[in-house]
Amino acid sequence: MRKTLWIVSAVLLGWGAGLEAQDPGGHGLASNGSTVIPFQLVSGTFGLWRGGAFVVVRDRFSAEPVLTVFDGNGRELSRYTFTIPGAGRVNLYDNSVARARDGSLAIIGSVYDYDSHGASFLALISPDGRQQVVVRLSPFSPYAVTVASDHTIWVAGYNPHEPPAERDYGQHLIRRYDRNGKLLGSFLPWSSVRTPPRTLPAARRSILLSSLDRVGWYSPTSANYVEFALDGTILNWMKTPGHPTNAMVSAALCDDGSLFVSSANVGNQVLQEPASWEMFSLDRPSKEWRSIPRPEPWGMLYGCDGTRLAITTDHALIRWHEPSKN
Amino acid sequence: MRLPVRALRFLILYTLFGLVLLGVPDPLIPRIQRKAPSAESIVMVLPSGQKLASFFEGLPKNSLYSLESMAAKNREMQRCRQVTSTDEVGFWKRFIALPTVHAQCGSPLSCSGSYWIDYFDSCNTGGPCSGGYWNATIDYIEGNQCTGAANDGGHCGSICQCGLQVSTCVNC
Repeated sequence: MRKTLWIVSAVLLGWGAGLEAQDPGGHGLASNGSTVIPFQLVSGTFGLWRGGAFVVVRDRFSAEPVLTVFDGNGRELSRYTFTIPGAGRVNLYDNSVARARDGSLAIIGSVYDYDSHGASFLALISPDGRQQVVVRLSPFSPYAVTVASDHTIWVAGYNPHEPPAERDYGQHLIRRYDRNGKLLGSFLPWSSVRTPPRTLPAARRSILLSSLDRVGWYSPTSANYVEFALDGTILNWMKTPGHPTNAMVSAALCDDGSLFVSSANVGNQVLQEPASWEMFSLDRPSKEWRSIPRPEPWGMLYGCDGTRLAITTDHALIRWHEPSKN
Repeated sequence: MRLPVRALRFLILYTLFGLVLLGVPDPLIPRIQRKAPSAESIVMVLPSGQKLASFFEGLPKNSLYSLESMAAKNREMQRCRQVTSTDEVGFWKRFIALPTVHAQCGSPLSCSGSYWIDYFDSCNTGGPCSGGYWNATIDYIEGNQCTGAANDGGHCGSICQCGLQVSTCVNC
């Protein structure tokens, strides 16, 4: 009896392992191992894969958020307490941290002191963590950041404080800074990506991505994806796949130009709708988005490491996938 | 076979010690953490390159930016997100995830308020509570007078007790 149980277990384990390795077929992904996330990602904590490492942010809404950096094997590389002198509360949102391949960090958000003053900021931390430059951005509010391969820092945002009737739709949504925080230039007028009335503007919930020779800006709310050369020239501009209004969208741009998008929806117990998520990859020649079937109820993309896609379905494991060549 | 009490105590201590040595993350073991270092030199500037003596130099005071006031609004929102059904899921049911439809998941929150900003949050407390959902905080810098908060009945995980979703909406 015991021998039978062992044999059955071994068969089931082998079958399960084979399932994980199977490629769903055509524009699918092939599993390439996993890394245990060496930190419990609970409320107030988030992680993303940037610049060749996994960056975990703790205490994202506090006076001193902490950023911990891990390599692909889950080994801690560095830890950094982010401070702005006088701050009583710093707010870091979803696409508000970027890491360059040399280990430098760029952080955006808002900050308040204990005496009712506040402003938005862009902070730049040197690779050794010893030098920090904080750029006061207000009235411009940043919503996404990335570090380009030429070490410039790109920020997506706008001034949200003008009443609707007085909005300046000529303002540029993408700004580019040097490593000292000096503004080098700006691109993409808001008027070119307007959203319908009473919907979130294009810069909100947007994502900035960088690879070897370009920067991509993915805007779920305006359904636009724009790629820029490092000098700001527009390389590509296309519509995104449609996303439900409150889909949690994440994206990853790999070094070979592969672009992946994940769109997750929560469940609704009363309406008896289960949670669901789907992924897409961009077919560049046709500029069409191909759906990648996924069996799990929820997931998101942490980013891309070279050509390896970092996916999670439970915030406990980074599941590595390589694009299938089928 | 019942282990003697002394042997059982030794086994538990030995296991915990082994886990510590292995560095296995264990929520039952308190983690002694050194405070992570911060920068030795912090420079504050404007986008023009002009240096500031302090980050908040020259900024006007705004009563809306009171930390206490914002904390109170966030607490109020968290109370609205709680499921206060009289048919509360008991401790064990939550982990066993019995297929019972709980009709009382709280009333959906229609778009209201101002200066709310949403973000991805997670509810990884085990059982049916696993995954991500939208949560929101008040932020007078990143939000504006038209960004309210709303919930359409969505929630994290597979039951509403895992946490009702609150996302940003536009109401003007």
